[in-house]
Amino acid sequence: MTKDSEISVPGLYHLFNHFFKPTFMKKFLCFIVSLFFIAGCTNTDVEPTKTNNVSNYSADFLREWFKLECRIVKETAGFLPPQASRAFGYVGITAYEAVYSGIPKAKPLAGQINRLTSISMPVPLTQNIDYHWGIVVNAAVADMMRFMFDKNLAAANLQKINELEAKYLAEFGETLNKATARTLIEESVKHGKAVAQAIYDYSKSDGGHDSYLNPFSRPFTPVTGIDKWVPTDAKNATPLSPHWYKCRPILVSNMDYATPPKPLAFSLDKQSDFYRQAIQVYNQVKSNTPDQVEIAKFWADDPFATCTPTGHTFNILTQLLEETNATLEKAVVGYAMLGIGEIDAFIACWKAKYDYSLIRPVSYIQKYIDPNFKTVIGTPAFPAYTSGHATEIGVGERIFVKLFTNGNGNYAFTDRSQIQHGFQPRKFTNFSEMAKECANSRLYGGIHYEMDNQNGLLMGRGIGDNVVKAINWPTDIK
Amino acid sequence: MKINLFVWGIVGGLSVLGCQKNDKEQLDKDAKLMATLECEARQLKEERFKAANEMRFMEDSLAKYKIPLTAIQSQQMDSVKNVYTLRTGALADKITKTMDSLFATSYQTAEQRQAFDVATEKMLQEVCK
Repeated sequence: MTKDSEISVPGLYHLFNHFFKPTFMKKFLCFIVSLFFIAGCTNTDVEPTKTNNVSNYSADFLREWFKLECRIVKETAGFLPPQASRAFGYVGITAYEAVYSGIPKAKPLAGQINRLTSISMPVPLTQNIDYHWGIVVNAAVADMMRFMFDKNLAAANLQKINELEAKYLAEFGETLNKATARTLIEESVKHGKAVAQAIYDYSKSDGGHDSYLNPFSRPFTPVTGIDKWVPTDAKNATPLSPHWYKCRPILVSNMDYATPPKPLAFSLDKQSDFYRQAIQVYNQVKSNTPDQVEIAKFWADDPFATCTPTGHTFNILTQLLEETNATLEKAVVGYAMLGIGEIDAFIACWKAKYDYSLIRPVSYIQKYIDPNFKTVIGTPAFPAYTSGHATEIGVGERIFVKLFTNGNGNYAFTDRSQIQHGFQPRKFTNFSEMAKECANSRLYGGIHYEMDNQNGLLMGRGIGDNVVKAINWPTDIK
Repeated sequence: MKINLFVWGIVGGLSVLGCQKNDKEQLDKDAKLMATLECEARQLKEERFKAANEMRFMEDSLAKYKIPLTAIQSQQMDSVKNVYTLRTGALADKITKTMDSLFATSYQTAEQRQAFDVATEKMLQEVCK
C-alpha cells in the first residue's frame, strides 16, 4: 500500500499512531469505528425514493394541519362536540380523497360513502404528469379548513391557515425540478382544491352545514317528564344540537349502531336498577381517589380550552402516526377512517340521546338523593343516554386497533396529547384499556350513569369496526 | 495485540461515555425546559378548573331556582372563558411545538421518550413547588 492510499482521520489517527505503526487496514477500521461513534450521537436521514406513490411522502405536514385544526376548534365559536366531529371528519375525508389515486389499488370514497358519487368528484390526471401528493393534500386541507370554519373563522386563524399552506407549498416547491415545477405545482394545487370544493359541496347537504352558527338549534322546546332531561345550568335552557340525529351519516350502515338497548326504566324505588345507577354515580363521586378525579378531568376535554373529545382522539391518532413513522399514505387512511367514524358516532349517539332524552345523574341525585350533590366536572347541556365520549372513543379504539396492531389491540402507548393543557401523560398497554378509562371517566366525573358509558362504548366499537369493514380501504399501507 | 485491544477498548469506552455524558446533560436541560412550560400549564389548568367550577356552581344555584342568567352575567362569563381559552391556546401551542421539536431531534424512540417523561416529571417536582 502506498502512502497516498492512507486515510487520515484527524485526532483519532494521531492518538492511535502514537501507540502503534499504522497500516491501511488499522486506519480504515479506526475510521469506520469513529463513524459509528459519530453516528451514535447524531440523527440519520431516510434516503428518498423515486416512485411517486403517496407512501413515499412524509406525513409531517398533515399532522401539523390537524394540530392547527385542534387549535382553531378551541378558538372558534360554535364548535361544540357534534360540530367539531364534523369539521375534523370532513378534513380527514378530503385528505384521503385528494390522494387515493396515488395509493396502489386504492378506491375512492366516492361511490362507497353515502351519496357521494364519482360523478361529483374531479378526475385525477393519469397521463403526462405526476402530482406532488404533498402539494395536493396541502391545498385540499387548507381549503377544507377555510370552508369548515368559514363564517366564524377569526382573522388571526385564517392567517394561520394561509401561512401554513404557503409554508408547505414553498417547502415542497423547493424540492422540485425547476423545469417542470410550475406545471406540477399548478396541477397539484388545482386538483387538491377541486377535491376540497367537491367534498365541501357534498357536506352542505348533510344537515350539519353552518350548524356552528346556532349549535343549540334555538328555539327548541325540550320534551318534559319525570325521567326527562332538564337544564343543568342557568345558561343553557335548551339542549345542544337536538336535531343532530337527522344529519346524513357517512355510512348508512353505521346507523345500525344508533339504537342501543333502551335505558333502564326510570324509577324512584330504591331497589330499582335505575336508582342503583344513580346511587352508583353518587357514591363514586363521594369516594373518588385523586387518580380518578385526575382521570375525570383528563378526559373531560376541559372547560373552555380543548378541542372536544373528537379533537382529543384526533390528537392521539396524530401522536401514533408520528411515533410509528407513518407515511402520508397511512396518515390519510387513518384520518379518513377516524373522521368517518367520528361523524357517524355523534349522529348515532345524538339519536339515542334524543330518542330517550334521559335525565342527567346530577338532576336526579339533587332532586331525589342529595340536594347538595356536586359533580367533579361540569355536566354538558344535553341528555344522558348514551355518553358521547364513550361512543367516540369506542370508534377511536377500533380504528387504532386496525391501524397499529395485529388485531389484539396491544400497544404500549403514552397519551401525551393533554400535556399541553396541564395534564400528566397517561400510559396504556392496550387501546381497549384507553377506551375503557375514557368511558369510566364520565362516571368518576359524576355526569353519566354506568349504562350511558358501557352502551356508548359498544355503539362506538360497532361503528369503528364497521368503518374498517364497510369501506374498501387500501391494504398493506405503510 | 493485547495492548492494541486495550487501547481500542479505552477509546471506545471514552467515546461512549462522552456521548452518554452529553446525552445526560442534554436530557436534564430539555427536561427543565419542558418542566418549566408544563408547570405553567398545570397552574393554568388549576386556575381554569377553579374558574369553571365557580361559574357552574353559581349557574347550578340559579338553575335550582329557575333563575336565568342575566345578559351581563353571561357576558362576563364569556369574557372570562375567552381569556382562559386564549391563554391556554397560546401556551398549548408553545408546549406542542417545543415537545415536537425535542422529539424530532433528540427523543425519537419510545424508550428515549419514556426517559424524557420521567426526567421531566422529576424536574417538575423541583421547579413547580
